[in-house]
Amino acid sequence: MMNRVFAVAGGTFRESVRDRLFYLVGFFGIILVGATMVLSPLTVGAQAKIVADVGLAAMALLGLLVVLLVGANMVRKEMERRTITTILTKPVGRGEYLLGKYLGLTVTLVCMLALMGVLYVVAVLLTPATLAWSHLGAIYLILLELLVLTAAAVLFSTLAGPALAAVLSLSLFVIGHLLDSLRDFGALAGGVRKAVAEVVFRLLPNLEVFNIRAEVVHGDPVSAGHLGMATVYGVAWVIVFLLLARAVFARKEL
Amino acid sequence: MNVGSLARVVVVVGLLAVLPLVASSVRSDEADSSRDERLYYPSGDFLRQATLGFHAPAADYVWLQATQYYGGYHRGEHDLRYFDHLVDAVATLDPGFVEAYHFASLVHCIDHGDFDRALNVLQRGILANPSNWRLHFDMGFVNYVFKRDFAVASQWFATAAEMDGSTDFCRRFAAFASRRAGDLEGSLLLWDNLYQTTDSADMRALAEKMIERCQETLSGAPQDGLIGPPAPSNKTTKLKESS
Repeated sequence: MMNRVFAVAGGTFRESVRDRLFYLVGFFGIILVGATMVLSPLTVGAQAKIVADVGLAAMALLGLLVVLLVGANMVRKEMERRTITTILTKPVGRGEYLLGKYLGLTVTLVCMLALMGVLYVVAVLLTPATLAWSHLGAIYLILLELLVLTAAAVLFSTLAGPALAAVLSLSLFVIGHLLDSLRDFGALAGGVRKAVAEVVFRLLPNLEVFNIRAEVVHGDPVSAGHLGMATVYGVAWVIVFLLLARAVFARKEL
Repeated sequence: MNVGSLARVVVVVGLLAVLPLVASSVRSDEADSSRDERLYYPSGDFLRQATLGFHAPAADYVWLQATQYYGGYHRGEHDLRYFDHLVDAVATLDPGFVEAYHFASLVHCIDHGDFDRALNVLQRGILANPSNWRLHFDMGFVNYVFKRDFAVASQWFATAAEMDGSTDFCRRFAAFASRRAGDLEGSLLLWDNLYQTTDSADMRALAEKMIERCQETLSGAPQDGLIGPPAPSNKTTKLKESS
């Protein structure tokens, strides 16, 4: 089974290379150089912080861009091209196909973040900041957040066209970062609104769990416990989204 | 190249030449209103929600605007009316942004002459960053240099000196402030602490000199001012004698 999954994943990864997704790494480098050389004279003592902030934020945003442009389009594109029928007529199950597509994009994201991470480390070392292991923890959690969003994008991709799937994925990203505020708002409002807020809070992934960027930049320690719990939380949401995607895709007329 | 292609090139080049002029014209029309554009600047609380987990880079962006705004004040463009609002947005977006508290406190002291507001900004910074020695040092600095409250300054410097990451500089200031406040025994202890813990030979020499002066004052020896010439004697012996 895993051979078939890896074959689909390999194809997805090669496709992302052909689509020149890795040019985004070059764009990331330009952003870092800009932050280091152009903004630094204006930062009044905050150069190290700003370079680190911009670097981590750019990684998260460019990764999100890949998820929205590629992940949300992944299944639908092959359905429209009819290439999916070619794949599924071979002994590849629909669940294996989805898992392969997901793993292929995961490998792409891992490679992209690894390359960006190297550039980031170089950029931070050029500033007066001290580079701690917690910076790698922050990059790891960015990856984890992107993997949750990718799984959601795969689900949306089986449900709707590329544009709507991208909008739904982006909406999940927005709501996922506002869940704490939504819950606070519900608690203040009381009544039905409180109940609704509580339901939404429990039904959607809280993406702030993966956001330790500000703490890391300020040199605050990040516990292994936090990384471990965030990993469990992220992997659980990935499983939920992929199982839902499999259930939807299994009933899909191709 | 045929006539059609040439015409298209001319149109593109012409538009590229004209569009910057149009943009400049629009900007100059807005120049009168730009004076008050910070009036409509969103609050830090709103920005924190709106930036979706990217509040630290958003704080950096507002910080760059705040420093540009301060530059505008020095060019005579405005009276720094909205500086507090920008600093508040920065501190709300990223409470760990120590440079913002530091810079804002100096602006309040130097440009507004409002030392209490400077201390309030620093207090806010300390509440958000209780283990940051630099903000404690800044509290001492404002009290020492601007408010001339040497006793309070000495306490803040001493607190900063005890914190992780602080430098000899803090202990040196604590001892100076303590001496200026008339607390010679406290000053002596602080200088002695600096002498014992510093890695710098220069700092150790300075500490030794100041210990001798404090001891001379305590023993009633004639002084020729606050900072007189040190007497050439053994520091450790003098410390034992004084205790």
